[in-house]
Amino acid sequence: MIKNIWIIDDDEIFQFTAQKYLELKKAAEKATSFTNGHEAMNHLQQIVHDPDDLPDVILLDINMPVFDGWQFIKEFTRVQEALQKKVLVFLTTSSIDQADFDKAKGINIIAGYIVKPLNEEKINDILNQYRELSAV
Amino acid sequence: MVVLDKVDKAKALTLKQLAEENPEYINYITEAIGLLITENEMLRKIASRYSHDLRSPVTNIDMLLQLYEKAEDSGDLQLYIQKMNKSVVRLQEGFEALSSERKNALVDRTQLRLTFLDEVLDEVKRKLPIGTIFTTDFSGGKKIIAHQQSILQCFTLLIELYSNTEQPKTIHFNTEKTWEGLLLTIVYPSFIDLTAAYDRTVAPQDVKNKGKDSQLAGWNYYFAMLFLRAMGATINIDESTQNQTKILISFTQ
Repeated sequence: MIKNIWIIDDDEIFQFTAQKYLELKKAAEKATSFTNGHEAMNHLQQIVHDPDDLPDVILLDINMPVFDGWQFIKEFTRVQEALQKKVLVFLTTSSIDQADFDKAKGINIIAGYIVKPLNEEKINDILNQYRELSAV
Repeated sequence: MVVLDKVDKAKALTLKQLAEENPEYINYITEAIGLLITENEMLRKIASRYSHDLRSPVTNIDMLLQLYEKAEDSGDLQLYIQKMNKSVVRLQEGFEALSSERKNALVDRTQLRLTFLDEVLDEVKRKLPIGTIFTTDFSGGKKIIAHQQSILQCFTLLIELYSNTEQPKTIHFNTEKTWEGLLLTIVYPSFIDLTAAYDRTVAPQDVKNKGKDSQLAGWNYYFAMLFLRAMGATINIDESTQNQTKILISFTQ
């Protein structure tokens, strides 16, 4: 089970359904939602030296107003070294644009690219990657 | 999006080549490139809207349906239905926004004017060599809401494409009222190959093999098509036989 997962998505319905899925699958102990990258980054900067509060997995939407997924990744890359644990970042998107996929492939901190809708199989993939990381 | 970029680059390259070989086309080419950029921008917006504003509520409905099937609590069921309703409303809003963007993005609407087809034709006639005969039947109507400069250029191009041929120069125009607006039919009394240059599927060597007149006719048709498309009108080759070439232009009003 993932200890702490963040869902960064401006879509309130996706936040709700993702949390429900994680709950039903018993995939996460704690799930926290943020409506944009800015809000999430502010929070991350406050807890940067506190590994217990830091997320283990982030589900990050690409298309968001204010501060989108790409901007979050840029900022996250800067603070990543100061974090005292490895965080798995999964891009979640409804976009089927090949250009987004290609861009994501070139960024090594992105652990995976998930095209919505989220389903059991995709949650299992996230869990498997998390288990592999925890085993290391 | 990648495909769009490739098509545009290929098209821009061909337009550059056309400009080098035929300097008289330079004004059309400049305007055509502008229109291609506008059109591409619009397609990008549509793709983004499709990807985000339309696909997003659909994926939410998909996820909610799966949750609905697994729900055991009536409170949860009620909640899922509420969220599904919200997603349906969002989907509907997305479609409405897409439809209005499609209509507005193509042309600066403030430049649209009430235009009389017969007056445009009279203006074009003055530029043509003597001997071209026009027969007209505007019984379906002759008023359209159009960008006057574009419609003038479109008519000039469509008439010019015939002026180089050795055939008797008789061109027939007629209009019909349709449920969506006005249909203009232009009939030429012989075959004109309009597919040579504008067709993106034709390889450059094949275009060359078709001869210069044919290439230019194809380009005339291509530019006319761009000018019309920028106004939201559609153009089709209805018939191209040995005896006649028929072009249909549909104006949605």
